[in-house]
Amino acid sequence: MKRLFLVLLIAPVILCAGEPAPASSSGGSSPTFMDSLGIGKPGVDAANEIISWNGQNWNVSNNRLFESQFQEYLSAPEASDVTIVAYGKTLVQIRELLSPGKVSPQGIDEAFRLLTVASGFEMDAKLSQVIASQVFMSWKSQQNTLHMQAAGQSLQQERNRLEWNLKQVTKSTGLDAVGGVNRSGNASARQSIEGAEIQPITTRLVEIETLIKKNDLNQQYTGEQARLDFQVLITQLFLQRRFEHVQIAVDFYRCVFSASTGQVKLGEEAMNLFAKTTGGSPTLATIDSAASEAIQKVKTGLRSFEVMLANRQLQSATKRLAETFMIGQNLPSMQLEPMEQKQRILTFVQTTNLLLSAIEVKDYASAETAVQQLRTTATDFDATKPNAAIQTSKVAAEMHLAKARNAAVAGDKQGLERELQAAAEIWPTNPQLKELSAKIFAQADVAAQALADFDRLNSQKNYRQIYDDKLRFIAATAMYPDKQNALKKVLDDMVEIETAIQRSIEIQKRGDNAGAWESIEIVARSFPDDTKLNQFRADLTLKAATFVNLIKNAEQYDKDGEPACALTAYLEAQRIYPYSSFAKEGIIRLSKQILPDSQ
Amino acid sequence: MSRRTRSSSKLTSLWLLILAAGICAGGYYFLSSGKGPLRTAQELDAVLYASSAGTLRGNTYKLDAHVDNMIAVSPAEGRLISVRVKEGSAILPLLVTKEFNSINLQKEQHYLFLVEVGDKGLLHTKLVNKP
Repeated sequence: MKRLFLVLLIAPVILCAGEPAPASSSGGSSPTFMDSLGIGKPGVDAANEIISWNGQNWNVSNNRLFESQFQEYLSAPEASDVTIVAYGKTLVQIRELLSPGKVSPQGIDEAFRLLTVASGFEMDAKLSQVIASQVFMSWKSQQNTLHMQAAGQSLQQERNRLEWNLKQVTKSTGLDAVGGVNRSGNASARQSIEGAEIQPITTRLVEIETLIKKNDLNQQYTGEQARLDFQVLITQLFLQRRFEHVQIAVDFYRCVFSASTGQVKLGEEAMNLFAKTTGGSPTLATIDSAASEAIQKVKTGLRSFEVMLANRQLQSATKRLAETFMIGQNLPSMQLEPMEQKQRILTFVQTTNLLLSAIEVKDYASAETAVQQLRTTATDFDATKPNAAIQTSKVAAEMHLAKARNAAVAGDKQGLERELQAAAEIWPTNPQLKELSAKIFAQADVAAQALADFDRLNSQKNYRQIYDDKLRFIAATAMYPDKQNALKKVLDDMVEIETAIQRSIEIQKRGDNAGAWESIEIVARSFPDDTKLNQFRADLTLKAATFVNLIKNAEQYDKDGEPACALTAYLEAQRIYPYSSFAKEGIIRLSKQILPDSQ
Repeated sequence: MSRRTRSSSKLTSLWLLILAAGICAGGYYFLSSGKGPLRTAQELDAVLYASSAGTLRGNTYKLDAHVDNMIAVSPAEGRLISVRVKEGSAILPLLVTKEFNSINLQKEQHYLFLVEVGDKGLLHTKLVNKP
């Protein structure tokens, strides 16, 4: 029976049922809806509730068509009690009038009238009117059959008359009706008698025989066609899960056709559908009982749903309601479920869908929130699987981020990109990923700008600016060994300059301006472009003008080839500043020049 | 003895004292201005020499100075020293040629030098006297 219900579940999917189709064809030989679309037949895995169709697998309770219908049901307000009760009462009245113990011609007429009343209710979807139409058509076909029976009797009488006439003619002419030979043996006389009297009678007799056969065939066809149309309508209603209408239609069928046959004649595919699920050819009895059981199952399912909902077992309650909905979507009892209860289920379903979507798009932050919400609202919600998926992905993403940080620190650009990409693939919306990426990219921008600045300042020999902003350049050139070496040389030089300046300042504090100048002059000759150094040297030049002038004069004399003057100037300079290294070196050098063999 | 006799003897002693002082001053002048070339040579203008020694090339000057420092010693050429000029306190380089190697030049000793401005403007000693 479970398999039969599964057939019921997939029937709307297969048939895309909405309003019932007119039962005009036999159904056996006509192409199905799927055939008209050029797609294959569905396969059903009842154990796993999986439908295979056109190369794709769907869960019965987890497909777009079902979800949309189920959510539409959950969002709809409950039907009015008064209306539902009145409608149900009408259907019950019809069934009572057609029940085997009470059926009567007047009862059938009253039941037929009540069909029109039932079709006036909105939830009936005019199906009662369709049944009424089918009953009317069946009655009309039966009336036609009576007319054809009368015509057949007339034809039969005409045939009897013609046969009697033929017998009388053959007797009066002496012809053997069988052999056609005159007793006198005159052949020419026989031919004249045949042409004049016997031939018209026999021709007419053949025509009448043909009409009788044709009338018989028409009678058989008309009755059978009406029965087949009715059976197709019943089957259609069953597949559309209109179980109460199925029961009413079966009752009417039995009354209209006097229960001449319970065997349902369907097309090959529909027959196979029932045969494979019930194990035999479908009968009105099996369809009727299946409809009754479906109605009962819906009632049981709804009771179970309400108990689970009261216990806040929303996950189980949602499953029970979904299963019940799949079976009894159109039953009045389903429409009576309170809006408040359905809203709780709707919220749970939407949150579940949100969780699935969040996991599908790898938004684990939203998924965690959804899991927390579901655990709060539903006591039976199993968070094991989503939590495992979320935590596994988060840990993997964090590991990749840690590797990315290490790669960034080590200057491994390729490793950094690879690890960031891996982390993004696992958890694209990871806030840590955004934060780290922003930092790295910001650093990359700063580093690029710093590198450009370093190249520019280095080409301008503006080492002072490089030294003042050395922290930025040290970080920027960390991944570029050649630039790192250039920066190291600049910084070493600047350290030498700064050291000289500091040393000179200390000497100056002792009042030794000449010594301070000489200290700074030594470095200034190596770094003539440093502005700070030049400024400081200029200040000291003014403060130790005599000494500086003597040193400069000595150098100039030496350059001009006047060693005596140069030596005199150096000696004078040494007198002013006895510790002058310039003077000492100049004196030694010039003395060697004057006395090459000196010791 | 009479009072007149004691007055004339005092006057004679005064004249003798004045004569002795004159003799001492003349001797000092004779000794300080040197003998011969030293007495006739022109004093070296240290400032001019320091700025343009080359223009004085070939000239001979008298230099009154104190030994300042030993700069270098050449067996072939002599000793290169620095001297501090008595007037003006300028320091000049001086090559004490090898013929005066016997003289023990010591720091702060006062000498009178007869010097000639050499090819490269360097002062070469021609005569060394201790005043």
